[in-house]
Amino acid sequence: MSDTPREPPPRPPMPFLPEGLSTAPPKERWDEWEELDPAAWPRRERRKLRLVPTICFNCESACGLLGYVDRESGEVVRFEGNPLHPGSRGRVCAKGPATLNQVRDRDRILYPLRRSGPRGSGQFERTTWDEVLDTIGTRIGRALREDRRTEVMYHVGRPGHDGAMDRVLKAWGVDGHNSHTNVCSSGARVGYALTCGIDRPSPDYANARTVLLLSAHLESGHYFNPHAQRIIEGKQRGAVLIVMDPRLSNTAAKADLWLPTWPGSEATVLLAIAGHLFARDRIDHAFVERWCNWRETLAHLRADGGVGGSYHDFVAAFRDHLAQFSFERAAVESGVEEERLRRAADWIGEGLGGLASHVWRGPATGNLGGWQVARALQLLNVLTGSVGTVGGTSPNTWNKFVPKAFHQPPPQQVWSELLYPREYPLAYHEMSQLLPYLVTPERRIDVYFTRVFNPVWTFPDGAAWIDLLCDEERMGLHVALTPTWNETARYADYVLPMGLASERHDLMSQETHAGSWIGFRQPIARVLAERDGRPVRFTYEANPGEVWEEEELFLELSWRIDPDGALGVRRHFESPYRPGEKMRIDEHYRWIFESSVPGLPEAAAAEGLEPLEYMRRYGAFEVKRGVYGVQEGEGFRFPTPSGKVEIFSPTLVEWGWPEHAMPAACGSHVAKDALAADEMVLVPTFRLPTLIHSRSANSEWLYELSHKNPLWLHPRDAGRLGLTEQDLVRVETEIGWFVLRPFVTEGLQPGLVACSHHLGRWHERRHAHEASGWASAEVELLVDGDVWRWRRVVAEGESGGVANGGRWWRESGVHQNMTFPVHPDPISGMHCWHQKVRVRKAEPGDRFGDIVVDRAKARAVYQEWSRLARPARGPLRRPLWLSRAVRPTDEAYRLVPER
Amino acid sequence: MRYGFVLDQDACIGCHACTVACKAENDVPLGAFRTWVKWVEHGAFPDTQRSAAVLRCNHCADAPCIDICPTGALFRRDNGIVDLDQSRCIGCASCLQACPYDAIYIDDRHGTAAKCHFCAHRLEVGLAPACVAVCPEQAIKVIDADDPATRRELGERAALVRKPERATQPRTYYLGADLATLDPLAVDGSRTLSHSEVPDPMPAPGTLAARAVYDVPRARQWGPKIAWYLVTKAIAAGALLAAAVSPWIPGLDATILGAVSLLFVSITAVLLILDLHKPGRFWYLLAKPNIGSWLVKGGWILMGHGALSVVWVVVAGLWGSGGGAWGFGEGLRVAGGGALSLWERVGVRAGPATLLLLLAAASIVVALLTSVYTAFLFRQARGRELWCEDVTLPWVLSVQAATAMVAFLWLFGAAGPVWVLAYAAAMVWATLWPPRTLQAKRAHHLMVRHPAFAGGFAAALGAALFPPLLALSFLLFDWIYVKAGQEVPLS
Repeated sequence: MSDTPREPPPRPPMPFLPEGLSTAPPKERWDEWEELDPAAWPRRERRKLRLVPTICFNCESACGLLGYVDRESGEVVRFEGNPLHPGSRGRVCAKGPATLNQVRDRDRILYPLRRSGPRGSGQFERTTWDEVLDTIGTRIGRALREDRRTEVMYHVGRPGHDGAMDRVLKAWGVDGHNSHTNVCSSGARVGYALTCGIDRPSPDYANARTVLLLSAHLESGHYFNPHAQRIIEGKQRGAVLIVMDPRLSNTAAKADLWLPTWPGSEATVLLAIAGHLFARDRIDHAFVERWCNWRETLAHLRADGGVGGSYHDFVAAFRDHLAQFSFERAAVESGVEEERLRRAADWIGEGLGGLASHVWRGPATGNLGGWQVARALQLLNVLTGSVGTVGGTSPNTWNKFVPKAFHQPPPQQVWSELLYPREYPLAYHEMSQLLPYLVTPERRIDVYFTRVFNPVWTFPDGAAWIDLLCDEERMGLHVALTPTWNETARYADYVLPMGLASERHDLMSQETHAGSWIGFRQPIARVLAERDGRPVRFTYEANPGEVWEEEELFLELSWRIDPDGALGVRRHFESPYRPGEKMRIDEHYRWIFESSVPGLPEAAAAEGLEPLEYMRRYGAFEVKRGVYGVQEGEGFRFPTPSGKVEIFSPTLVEWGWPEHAMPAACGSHVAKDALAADEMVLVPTFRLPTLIHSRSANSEWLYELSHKNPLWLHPRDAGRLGLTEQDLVRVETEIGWFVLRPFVTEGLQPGLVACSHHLGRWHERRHAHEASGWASAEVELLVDGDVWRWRRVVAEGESGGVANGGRWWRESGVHQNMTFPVHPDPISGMHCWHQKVRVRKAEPGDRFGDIVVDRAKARAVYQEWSRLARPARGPLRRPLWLSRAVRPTDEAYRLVPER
Repeated sequence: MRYGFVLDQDACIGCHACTVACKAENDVPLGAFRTWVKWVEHGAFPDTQRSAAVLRCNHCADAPCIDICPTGALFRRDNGIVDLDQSRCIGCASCLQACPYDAIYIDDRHGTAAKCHFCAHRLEVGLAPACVAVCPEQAIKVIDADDPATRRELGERAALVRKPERATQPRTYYLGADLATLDPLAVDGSRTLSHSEVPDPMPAPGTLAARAVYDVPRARQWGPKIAWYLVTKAIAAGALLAAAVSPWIPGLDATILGAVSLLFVSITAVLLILDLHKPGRFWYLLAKPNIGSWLVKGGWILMGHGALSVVWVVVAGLWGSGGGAWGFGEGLRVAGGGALSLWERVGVRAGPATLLLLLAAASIVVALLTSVYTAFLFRQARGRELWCEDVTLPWVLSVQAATAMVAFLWLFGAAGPVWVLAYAAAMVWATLWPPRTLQAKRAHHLMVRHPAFAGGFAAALGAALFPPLLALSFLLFDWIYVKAGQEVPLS
């Protein structure tokens, strides 16, 4: 059938442990573990430990950790994997054990702080949790009483929990959930959601025939460690791995076939492959006929506008539609030779029923129209019948289990235009990247929580964020909830220390494989104190300093907002066991584990434990395994308007985008034909397996491994531009430039440059006392009208020089996001990260680490991209069927004409 | 049961989890690594390849680090693990030179060496090593390297080891590894890596097809102190040699020569002790010796050298020397009467002249050993091929000692400057001797192109006019030799 035969399946891997060794102590001995002290070795000094499970907080995978706690000191001496966790199976990535650095970090915030000078002055004083709760509670209470229910906003970077905050915000009755998703994953989510109603894939990598990644899941992404395990497992069982990435990621380097596609060409390539599947008849017709909206699709494709027709007619019509995406065209757009694309198509065709595929960020995040990439990718799964199959790809909800908490508050009745402005009716998540432009003195924010969220640094157009955060007229009270200092917290009114992986409660589940589980994050010191019969009132009493946790903070805060219960907030935070009294955090979880997790009470009883006790001991519970064929269930419908997988999307037609009704090319802003002769494309999104977005700076083990982000540059371009690795290079974006040095590599297509997004943390001198000095460069921020200029106070190679404790590296990288304007995709709302740039040798006055932006230009780009949007015309703000974070009442969807 | 590692590079994703887990488990300081990941890139777009390998101790069956360790701090467990007892370590760093794999480092906080010990402390309580437990891909495997079935399987899977030609019999095996990741000589190093920096990169040819894109820094352990030690040792050897011939060469003062020899051998010892990261433990060399180590043998030789120097000072001081006016026999009979009578009792009838001859012969042997033993020590430094593969080194060191001797003769007016030419000729001969291995060739290349090397010759020729310049010549040659030997990466 295939022109490109694959290798015979490899021999299974060698066993990794001999008899008698295991990766962790048996769970029966976790509370009484004895081992030999490595510091004394080869002397045999025994030490006593207690092992307490939790889950990692350093990405969203929620891998299981085991804290090894020294019995004498009560301190965690190391973190390893929790073998009982079904997602991570006892294994973790570098970020897991590095949690120890974060816990011990000397620069961490230990006490609640209140601003004592002007905003951004760097002046803070210690305050008490009581004062914090009173001040914020009173203020929110006043906003609720005055019905200013869009002025309270919770803006989350790293969620680390499933829906806990949704419940709080609904209980407050505010429309105030904002997220980072529009700079992260909403592009792909829209593509998936429009196709099958569910916004994320859950590939069954371990059993796949073909794995197709438009992501870098062997080094990053959701969910790096659990997925990387299963991708390699799949390979070991004979799957082929195809990776589409403009840059040779470590993942691409492991692939059997790398497709180094030009950014923006991915959808075209995928549709060419779809055409090839039809040409070779590698189609699971039974699945397509049963589950796709082929009748509507056929009706749309029929030029005569007629209705009716057979499935056979649909196949013919769709083939004709796909004919425009030829391999010839795909090769031209992608810069990848046809032969490679055909080989990929053959292998995908062989994956009938067993195609595991994934796009999370990557092209869906980089390009205008990037959401079409996810749609085209999902189409391949559908055509090969690889949905819900062994080795196929399920919608994520089939493998993610979110238990309900006690007492579900009703949805809020208001709609915030700061979150979902009418201009972006299909935006899958909040238009968070536009917030600095959307907030005005008339449409202000009264209380703004940033939760492990650093937009000044992470988001495009950081200068606009500084401007917003400093403006007391638009920004009432800014409360930064964060375990570490960051560029954003320095502009806050309150900086409130929140716990790390071993210092907080959260409940999580992720779609890591064809099964589902829950993982429990817990404050280890508190758990042990309570196990020993020493009650702890609040987690911050057991944690280092007065480090607290959000869940308990918001519980307390909700009572301060509504002390007498008049606002109707309090009742949602009353104990399910002691009516009318304040809920305790263990009661919250006790209720969930007793009432919402099928099988857990029975499993606990089998061990002679209460469900809460079971989770405190073991940290995770497998809810289901071997989840396949969910669509075969009685009365199953995909949560789309048709109940089917929608190849043709009526929604896009109804909401003003008829030209996107069918899967099609992206029309990217950085496509080859969209570039001027001297322009290159910057891929600024890639990540390293060792860093944590903007929270690595307090882990020296991680920074030791990765501390530079040079500009990846192809040798041919280096030659053309007269650049060597010793030169300074200026990368000019639409609104400014940054200066760094190149890394000349054959690892990307000529014409592209790439830069890792993790590095380049900075602080001003006035903030030096609240920075991890060795991990961020000291800069001077010079504002001259619209032109903002960050210039390093320290020379190149000295930004790591502060407080040297054996730290041999001297760099912390160069920040690039500041020089990017906002690029909101008019449909998905996604910020389109890729940048058209001009790259050249630096000017004589340029210095390493220089960042310059012109805010007038940034505003102009914002306006230019805003014009692409097609606003809702009523009567609704947004399709009712399309899911929305913290969904309000249907009534709130009604579009009232703007005043 | 002998433990071994298998590193399955087909499964490994180069994620560094093992690196961090090891640091957490074993309190490995910043800047040092017991296990690390190296990434290498080669090939032209779009056929570019990037490959990783996890590098660490090989737990060699024939472990050079154990052989060279002077105090037995490095030892092999019954289960095959090459372990290290920090409480015995004197911080001489010779194991870092002996290991061909960069697997050992000096922990600056303690001044002692440290390395992967297979998490032996975990094995004893039934836990896999930390790197094995953490690995997302189960790519790090623990095997019984003695098990015939396992050995057969490794053969079938075409397992590789690092530097098999070093004949250390590694017990860390690689499956599916890119050769370029295992062979440091196949890869150009660089200061510009993909996401880190190497502050002081090793020089590289710059012409190789593959390039390291991620690597860790490593320190050169032996610096100027070792070069100075070679110089002072050569001077001491030369002085003792000159003392040894003094009875037969008019004009030589054995008191002065003995004293000079004693002074320089003492300086040598002080330099050696100061070069230890744990100088306070220098006496472990005597108290806890590994007699197979040339550091220990060298210590004994230096002590013997010191003792003989004293004898020359005492003997010549008591009975005068110079011009052949030796009242040697009588004096010796009085001073060493006991020993002499013992000799006589066992039937050795030695006259004073015979004894003098014996003393001289012993001094010549010990002086030459003082000079040459370093060649045997460097031969034990099996990581540094410029040194350990160098067949000329014993001769060069002998020539240096002999040249130093003649220089003393000249200072006493007993020889002319012509001998300098002989020394220079010997150095030319040693330079032209072809290095045997690629690493040695690279190091040799770096050495002879370094200005210090030409400086060594210039100083040698200058010594014809001003003999003390000879010391400078020794210093330049020895310094560049020690430095260049460590300039080629081991991993």
